This record gives sequence, C-alpha cells and structure tokens, in this order.
Amino acid sequence: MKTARTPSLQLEKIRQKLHGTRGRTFWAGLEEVADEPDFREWLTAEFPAAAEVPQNGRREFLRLMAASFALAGLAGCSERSRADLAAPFVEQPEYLVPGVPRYYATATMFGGYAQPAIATSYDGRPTKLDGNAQHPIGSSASDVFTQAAILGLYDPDRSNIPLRDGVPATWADFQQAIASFRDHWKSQGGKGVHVLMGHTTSATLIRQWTQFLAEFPQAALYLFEPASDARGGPMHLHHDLSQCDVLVGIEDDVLGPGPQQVSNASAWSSRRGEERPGAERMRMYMAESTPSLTGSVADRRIPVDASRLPDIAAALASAIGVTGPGTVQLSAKEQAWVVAAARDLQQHAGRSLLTIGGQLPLEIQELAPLVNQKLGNAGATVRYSEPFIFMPQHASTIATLVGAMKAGEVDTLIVIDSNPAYSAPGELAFADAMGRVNKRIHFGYHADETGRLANWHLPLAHMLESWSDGRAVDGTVTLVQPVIEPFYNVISVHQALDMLLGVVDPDAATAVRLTWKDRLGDPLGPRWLDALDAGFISGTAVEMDTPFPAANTGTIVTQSLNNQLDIVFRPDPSVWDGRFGNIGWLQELPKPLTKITWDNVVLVSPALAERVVLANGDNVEIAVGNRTVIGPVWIMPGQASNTVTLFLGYGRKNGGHIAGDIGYNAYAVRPASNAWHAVGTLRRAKGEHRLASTQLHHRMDGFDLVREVTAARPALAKPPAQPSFYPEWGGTDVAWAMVIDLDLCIGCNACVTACTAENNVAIVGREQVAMGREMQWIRVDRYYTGDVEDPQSYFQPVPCMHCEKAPCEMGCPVNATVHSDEGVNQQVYNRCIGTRTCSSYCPYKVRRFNWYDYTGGDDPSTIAAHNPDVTVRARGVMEKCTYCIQRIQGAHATADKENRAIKNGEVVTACQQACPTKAIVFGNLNNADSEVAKRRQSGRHYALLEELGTRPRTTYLAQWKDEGEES
Amino acid sequence: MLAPVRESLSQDRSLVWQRVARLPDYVYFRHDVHIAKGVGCVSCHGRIDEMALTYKAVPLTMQFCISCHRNPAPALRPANEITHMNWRPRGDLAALGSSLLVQNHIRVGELTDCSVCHR
Repeated sequence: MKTARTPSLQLEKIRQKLHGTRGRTFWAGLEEVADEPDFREWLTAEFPAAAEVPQNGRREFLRLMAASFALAGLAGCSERSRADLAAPFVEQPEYLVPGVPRYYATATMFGGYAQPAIATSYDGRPTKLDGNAQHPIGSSASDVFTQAAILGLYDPDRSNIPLRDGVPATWADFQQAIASFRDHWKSQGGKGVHVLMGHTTSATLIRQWTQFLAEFPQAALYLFEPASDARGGPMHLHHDLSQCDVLVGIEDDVLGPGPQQVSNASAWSSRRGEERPGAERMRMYMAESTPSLTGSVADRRIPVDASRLPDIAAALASAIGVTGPGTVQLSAKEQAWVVAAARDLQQHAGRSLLTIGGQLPLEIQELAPLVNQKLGNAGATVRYSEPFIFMPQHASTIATLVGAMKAGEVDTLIVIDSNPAYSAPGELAFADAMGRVNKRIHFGYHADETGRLANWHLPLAHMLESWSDGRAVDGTVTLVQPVIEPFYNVISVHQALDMLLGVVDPDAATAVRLTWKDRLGDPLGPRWLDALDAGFISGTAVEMDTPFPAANTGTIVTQSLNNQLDIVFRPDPSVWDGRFGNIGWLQELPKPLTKITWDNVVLVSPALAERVVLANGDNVEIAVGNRTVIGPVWIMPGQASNTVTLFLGYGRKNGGHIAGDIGYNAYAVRPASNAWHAVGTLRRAKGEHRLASTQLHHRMDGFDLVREVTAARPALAKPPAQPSFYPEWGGTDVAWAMVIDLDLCIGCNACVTACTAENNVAIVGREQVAMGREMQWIRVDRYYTGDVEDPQSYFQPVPCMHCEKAPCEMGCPVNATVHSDEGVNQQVYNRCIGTRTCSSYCPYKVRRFNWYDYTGGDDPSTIAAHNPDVTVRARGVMEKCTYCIQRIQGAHATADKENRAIKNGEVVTACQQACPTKAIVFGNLNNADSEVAKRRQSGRHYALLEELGTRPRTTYLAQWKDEGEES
Repeated sequence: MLAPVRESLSQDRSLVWQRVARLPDYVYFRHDVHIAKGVGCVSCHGRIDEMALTYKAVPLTMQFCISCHRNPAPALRPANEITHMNWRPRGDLAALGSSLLVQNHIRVGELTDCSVCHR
C-alpha cells in the first residue's frame, strides 16, 4: 500500500512553498506541504484504508488477541447463554445496588508520587479512574497514565503465580525459602543482601525498610527510577503557575507528562483562556532542544541544541545579574530571545518564574533559584521544601550495584517493582552482572526482562488491588485502598516486605494501619475512616517555606560537540519508561506532537534530515561511544538542528503481548554517567520502517480550522447566519453543546484516554491505525504555522460536532443516525447496516467504522474493564462521540426521579472531566448561567467549517496570539 | 417449596434464577425511573401472583416499549399503587393519566429519542 513519505530532498521545496504563501498557512505535516500527487491520492480516500491489506501479513489486531483466544477457551459454546441465569447475593451487601456504580477514593503511583484518584466501581468491578477533586492538589482532572491504569489492572499478561526458576510455585514455598535465606542473611549481618527498588514516598514501605535494615544492618539499598530526573536538586520545587505573569522555561516541560502535569496544567490554565495578552494572560518563553508540550504553547520559543542550553541559561542569569558577564557567544536570534526573556522576567519581578529542566546538569539548574531569589519570585511563583521522595544517605545508585555484582559481592539481589535488566543504561550490562548473583528475587507485575533472570519471580498486586500509601506532589499523604479483591495469586509490595521480615502470611491493610496508628488512631475509628473516605490525610502537605540552600555558582562547562550530535533521552509520552508498554490504550494513543502510535522514533531536525538525506521512517543508527541502536527517524519541525532525541520505553523483549517487539531500545545507548544527554553520531541504516502516524488521518477539507485573535483585534468577525432547508430543532428545556478553548489545550491526550475508557473504544493495532482505522472518538489535531525549523504549534481536539443540520443524518439510508430533541446526534448501533455513507458525508471526519470484530476476541479480564453503561460495538457498525449519552441519560434518570430539571453542571463528559486545563466545557445552551452559554458569547467564539451551514453544537474559542512588544 | 431458599442461606450459595424477561445487550432499561414515574410492576411483568410457573407476560419488543413511550398516560398510576396487581382507577383513566403526566413531569415526546434506551 502507499504510505506517505517525505523524500528529504523536497525539504527545500517545502520551505519555498511555505515562504511563497501569502498570509498564514496552517499545516499538519511535511507531507501535506509537499503535496505530491501520490500523497493526495492517499489522503483523499475516504479512509487512507482503501489500499489492500498485505496478503501474507497476519493482521496485527489478531496477534494482539492471541492471548485472548487462548484464555477464552470454550466459553460461549454452551447452548443456553450464562446470561440467562441470574445469581444474586445470598446476603445483599449494604448500599450495593446492581448496576449502580459506587465511588472510592484511592490513588495510583507514578514516579514514586501518589496520584489521587476516584475509582468508579460497578458491582465490585472498577471500570474508571478520575481525579479526586477533594484532594488538596486535586481536581476531577487526570492524565493519560491514571486513566489507563484501569487497563493495567485487567492486563491478561500480568504475572499471576510465583515462579521458582520459571516453574509455578506457591507462596508457602517462597515463605519456606525465605526462612532459610533469612538465617543465612542473619549470620552475615545482612552483608551481601542488596535491595533495588523504584522511587517511593510510601511511609509504610519506608517503615518496613527501616525495620529490615535494623535486622540486617549491612544490607544495601539502591533506588532506581529510569525516567525521573534530578529536578530541583537538593530541594523539591513547588511551582505556582497561577501566580505567573511571565514564565521562562529552559528545557523544562512543566506542562508535559509527569507526576506534576495535572496540577501544573490546571494552575497554568487560570492565566490563559479569557485572560487577554497584555493583561492577565501569562506570557511564556521557552528554549528547548526537543519540542515539548510547554514549548508548543509558548509565545516565544527558540530551538537550541542540548549542548548549548547551558550557554542560554548562563546568558540569561548574567542578564538578570546573578552571575558575572558571560563570555558565551550567542546567535542574534538567541541573543534577542535572552534579552526579551530577561526584560520580561525583570519587569514582572515577583510575578515571574524561571524554570530549568531536571534533565540539565545540576549546576545549570541551580541558576534558576538564584534568578528567582533575586527577582523576588521565591515564595510567590516558586516555593521550596525538603524532598520527600525516599532518598536516604545509605542508598546508592544502580551503577554501584552493578559494580558490586561484578565484584561478586552480591549474594542476594532483591528487586522490588523495578525492571533494571531492561531499563538500566546499556553500558552497565545489568543483565550480565545479575548472572553473577547467587539468589535473585524479583517482585514485579510482569515476568519481564528482570523476572526472567530471577530464581524467584513473585507477582505483585496492582495498586487497585492493594492497601498502600504515598505522598502526592505537595506532600499530602494519600491513601491507597483496594477497589477489587486480587483475582490472581498476587501480593502487595507491603506484604512482600513483611515476608522478607519473616512475617508469615502478612496482611497489607494491617501494615498500612500500623504506620498511621499514631496519627489516625483505631483502624476502624472515625479518623481513619474519614481519611479513607476522602482518600488523604489532611494537613500532611509539606512545609514549603524552606529557603533554597546557597548554591555553588561554579563554572559552567560547555561540552564541545566536535562535529558530533547531541543525543538526548526523553521518557515516552505514552509508555513512560516502558512500564506502561503493555497497555493497549496507551500504545494506540497518538503521541502529542508526532501523532505516532505503536512505536518510538528518533527525532531529527529538518536540517539534519537534509544533510543525511533522510525521510520519515528511514532507519538510522545512533552511536554513543561503542554502543549503537537502530530506529526509525522522524523529521520533527521545531527540533534543534544538531539534536537527536531518543524515546525510552520501547524495544521490550519480555514486555507482554502488546509491548513485545515494538520500537527500539534507547536504554542500549544511554550512558551511566548522564542519563539525559550524550554526544554521539547518526548515520543512515538499511531499510525503513512503516510508522503508523495519525497526523494526516481524518483531515477536514476547508480553511480557517484554527483561528487566532490578538489583543488589538480580540473578536472574530461573526459570519451571517446560514439559511437552511431543514426544520429547526428546539422546544426542549435542554440543548446540549460543547465549547473547546484552543488557548487552553496543551495536547496532553487526557481527553482521548478518558473517552476510550468511558466509551469502550476498541484498540485496533498498528496495522489498522496505519490504514486510518483508529477508533478514538476524539482526536487532537496538531497544526503548525511558520517555517519548518521553528514553527508555531496549535492543538485542536475534535470530537463529533453534533451538527444541528447534520449531513450524516441526511445520508443514512436506515435512520441509524438521528437527532435527539436535545440536540445530540445519536448513533443507533443496532440499526446500523454499515453503508458508511454517514462517514463520507461528515465534513469533520469524526465517524469511526468497525472494519473487523475488534472486541469479540477480547479475553475475559479485558471485558471486565468495559463500562457496562455503553454498548460494545460489533463488526460492521459505525460509531462516534455521543456526548457521553450514558451520562446524560443517567443525569436525566436522577433528575426525573426527583421530579426536577437537570442542574447546571450536572452532566460532565469524560473528556471534560479529565481535561486538566478545563479547555473542554459541556452543558445546556438554554441555560444562560452555563459555562457553555457564557463561552458562546465570547468574541473568540467560532464554529468549525461554519460556511457549510451544519450549525455545530461543538464549537471553539480562538487562540490568542501574543504579539508582545517587539524587541 | 422454600427449601432452595433455606439451602442457599445455609450453604452460602447463590440461588440461581432463570431469567424470563431478558432484554438484548443494546437496550438499557432502568427500573427506578419507571417506578418513580408511576408505571406499575404488572404493566411489564404481568400477573405474577397468578403464575404457577413464571413466564414472560408481554413480548418486550421495541414495539411494546415504544408504544408506551409514545403515549405513557394510560400506563401511569399513583405511587402507592405501583405494586398493586389488579389496581383499577376510580373515575376517569384518561383524566388521571394526564394529571399524573403533569404531576410527575414526564417528558412526553422526548421519551422516543433513540438514546433513551440505546447507548
């Protein structure tokens, strides 16, 4: 089949085209600007799918379901369906009504921090996680990882039984083994016992470790978190973006994926949207090597190679006057950026903020507290506290552990919830060193790369099956309570520690209650129950008024490239360090900037691509020292010219059915000394890789899709009302509508994942995505303007527009898509015969067709993740965004029972609920007090493809363009 | 006759019931709203008090459901008569129905939207 390619030699042509156009041109990808006949043919097919499926290729989604078929066994063969039988409880639990969800406060863990969550549970089966609005840092919003955690729970590849040398064993076997191990450890005083775990903030785990260390004083501890950076150095930084008039970032993706994304983005959004430039709107500057979400929404962004970022930071610090005059040479463009940023920082002293990314060397990062101190920002836009990630003096790094293993000093290696055999820097050769260890014990969720090398692989329970605790990013102690009984033979991490402590058949709830006994008292008493109900212990946030310790203003050494390239490493926005690799929802999520699914790529700049003669998907070999890795290249508009970006988390060997065998392993070339930056080379390697990028799928044919307003012209021209042949709707109390503020969208994908979880959206696999058959009901289109070297980015979430004069409704021959009185464009699956006429009539390209039976082969555990209020669609039917009709009807039922109208704000769609910036609002247009009605009055309000006269109910607010004062 | 119930309790095993009224998976039905709005049990479940062996009393086809959704008034009764098996209105059925429509704020006309039952 044809794939869209960008022969690199056309880049010159692309540049000319972009320069030759008059006015602002919005483009989505390099292929689009090049506009070759081949590409046009590929694009204009209804779905790029029109091409045939490779004859000999087994279909990807079938492979994904292979496990499922095996598990499904002979279920479903009996003559009478089991669904015809009803088995009620013998004794009905209190308050439990079948089919009515219950909500529990709990949390997931991310990078050691607790992410507060509310779990929705149907009949004891959790189906959805959302933010905990009661929590001090919380809102109802969440990120993609929290949303997708639910599928991690139901992952059919999870370990479900202890393995001794790969052979199933029992917990009793392990406890017996541990008893003899303990005798041995005791005789040595713990010498030779080495424990490696990920970052944690759990007081219970820390208490248990302390107990372990007391018993085995010579035991060694290593803390290893492959994707956590050294942000803040000696202190924990607490940014308050809601107080920022000016934000200057140097390689710091404060709005990007990570434990602080939701709280940062939600604070940031209070200074955008209706706040206009020159008034309360935050102005943002960003210097970065790799385009990030923060960079994408910055007003003045400049691409700078990773090795030159220290120069920029030094020049900025010097311009503010915290360091002496610099000697660094900056280009005119860089100089202009530094001057403008420094001036803005100073003009807004006390209400500005400089942030420097945790992936830069510590001595560079320490310039930020100096600048913020001098400008009086400390205490206002940024505050400091002691770090509360467990990082005791006696803990050391993974490199030390490998050294000890190689020296034969390690008798027992205990790995807890970490996968170093995969994620340790390649040059350490962790797996080889591990072979020299006598007793290898691995507690983990999967029999992964490390689990395979262990004598004992012991399955851990998912957070949603466990009792635990942790601290949120503000330090608030957040409680984890199980929302389901473990359905495999697994134990929680606290039970694991207790086993190592010699407790027989330990209980995790007891361990957690013991930790908080002093503070909360009786485990069944009111204080404990209140904390459990709320999901956190109030008043436990950290003291944030600690001053930043005097920084050493040591000299900043700039690395010389010697004609080599900057190689930078980034956690993947979908699978992070690899731990979420087996979650299909995340793999199928188009990555925020590249829109690539099911793969990681090597990002290069257009200039580098031109120099090496590369096109998207060409394989390249990256060499760092004598280590190499081969991966497909992606030409990234806005990438710094000599910087190559590698994404972690792929190239798994034992990652499971979904994660296995996709992408390249960037850890292979990751240096042990500097986790985020290396110097290396790139050359064209043999072959090319077909990437499944959705950036050109579902393209709308029209203009002015994304609009901008400026302080000088803050209102868009209102087009005249379009006449229509069709009858008017209305007459009901409720008219549902949605308004999406483009100025608030950071492209984080939380809405897409939330929608997938809420609406049982199927995953289809890489091959089907490449054919344009992804099923997500909401997509986030990404557009660029400007030149390819440094374009401005725009994000535009596009769900169904629920047109009042919907073309799809005119097209359907069987009335399977019809209008409701309240203005919802309904899709009736049981009527649909799959002509796909509606989809070809849809100018917004929001309809999704079930080309195959994508869900029929789901295994029983994945089926359990489904929302029971939403039909699971079969092969041959069309589907699309329903405005979460199940939530609307649920609210109607509640209101009807109470004999009242639906209240303002009572219906919240899944995408709206998850959005950390409140870019999406939904409500009743007929209620003048609703947020939707108010936004519709904004001067920035417009409808997509208004000229077609479809009268969409989903509309947009234009993005601000901050023209600022030109320097 | 109640032996299976006693057995279920003593052995802590569910009493397994045979469904007679099963709706397709793509139909979402809620008892609570129907009860709150005044639809009697007997309207869909039939004279369960007279059944020797429980059977499906009405066809439960879309035709059956939608005829009532189009014109709910005749199926409505006062809240305290919901479970009554042979309730008969005193006086004018039509007048009672239309007064209950108003009293219970029944959204006549909107009940035939597809998404009321299909999601």
